[in-house]
Amino acid sequence: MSRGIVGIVTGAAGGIGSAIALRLASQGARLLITDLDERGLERVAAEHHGTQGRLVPVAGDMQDARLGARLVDRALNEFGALNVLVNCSGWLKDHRVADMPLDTFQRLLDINFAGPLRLLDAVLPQMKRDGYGRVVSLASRAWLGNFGSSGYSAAKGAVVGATRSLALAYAPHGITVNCIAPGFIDTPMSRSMPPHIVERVIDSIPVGRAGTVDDVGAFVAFLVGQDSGYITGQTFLSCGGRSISEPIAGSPRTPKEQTA
Amino acid sequence: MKLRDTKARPVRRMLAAIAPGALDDDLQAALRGEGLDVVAAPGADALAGLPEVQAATVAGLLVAPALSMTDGPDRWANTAAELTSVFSLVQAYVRNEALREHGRHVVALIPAGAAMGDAQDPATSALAGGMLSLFRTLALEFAKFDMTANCLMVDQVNGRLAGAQEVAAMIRSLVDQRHATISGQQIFAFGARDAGRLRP
Repeated sequence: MSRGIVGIVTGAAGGIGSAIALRLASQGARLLITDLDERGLERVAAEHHGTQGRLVPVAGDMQDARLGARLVDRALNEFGALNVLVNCSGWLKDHRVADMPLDTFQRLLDINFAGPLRLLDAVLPQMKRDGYGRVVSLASRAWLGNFGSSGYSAAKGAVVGATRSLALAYAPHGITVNCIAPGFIDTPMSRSMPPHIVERVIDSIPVGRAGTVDDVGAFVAFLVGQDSGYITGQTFLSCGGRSISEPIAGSPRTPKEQTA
Repeated sequence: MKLRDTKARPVRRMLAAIAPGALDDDLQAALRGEGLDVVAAPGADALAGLPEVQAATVAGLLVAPALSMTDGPDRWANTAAELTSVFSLVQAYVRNEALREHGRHVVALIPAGAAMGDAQDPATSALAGGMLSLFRTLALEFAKFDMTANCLMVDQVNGRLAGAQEVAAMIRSLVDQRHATISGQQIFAFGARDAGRLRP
């Protein structure tokens, strides 16, 4: 049976999330798109001109514990089904460990980990009833450890850890749960970084460029499709090979610094 | 090269953090056998202000969070709170210059089974995953202080720590300055049940 993609994309007002939503919609997906940025959502919905897919903006805060139930109800009312969740929402704030304010650390965990996982709790019972589902959460290469990113790294590591167990729990029900861990992607957030940092990071990427939102979107489109049913509990790096080159940007002991 | 005479070293204390009362009795006894006394870490504020005379007796920080999270509607919030507690203590530790100087090693005990994946306990898996990523980042940042951060992945049988002697010996090794280039690692004391599986 061919299934249409009917689901939710969070963090969809811009960057990777909007690219994923637009790509899936162009392939006929019907999606709720959610984000704090209501106007951004409206812009993204207006960008979709396909005749089949549909993007429905629903403003929401990942720190709101009731967001999941609200989105599931809305999806079922709008589309009559729900079989895909793509978690793209995120927030990044770096401080070295000694300087990290505890409330910032907590907020990083709440937005990047607890909020997305609460959303999984809301959608998985519905998918289980239907015996089919695809969940993809955007982790980050920082899951491997990243200088200055203790809170973000811990949050993404927690998402990866939960993904392994939820994948085991829901595999018998036709539901796959996976993560994609993007590296340095050309987004408004990365463009706001100091140019010398951007240059150094790109210099450390074996393929010699920043990733694009479409690099990630194409991978997500595969994972939420029917052809990926044998793939679950995995975390896939999409980082241009950087995970196997320079240890970590910002590390005080990178090879370049040792030889400088 | 002449190695330092380890027998001549005074017994140093190991600070335990996060519910030290829950630290397995067998492990505490085995650590004493390795020359490490386990004492409860004070709260973060007290830890950050620990005087040098006391800090000089500290071999390192042993972080042993809850090995099993309470499941339920707030399980993700519980996991986040536990991770924050771990971070708070490690942060206090690294803010104390004397502890950085004398106790250069931070070791986390992490439930290996949950880290590998446990359909019955995703919240503990999340805690384990968060700890692993946090400690990799700590290792990167600690390098400039010549400090180490490592994770020891432990097993439980019927609610008790398995292989307490082996775990204690590995902790002793990880807080030994002769092994100071070993950092950012995850070491499985899991009876090879991790072998043949993709590690987190």
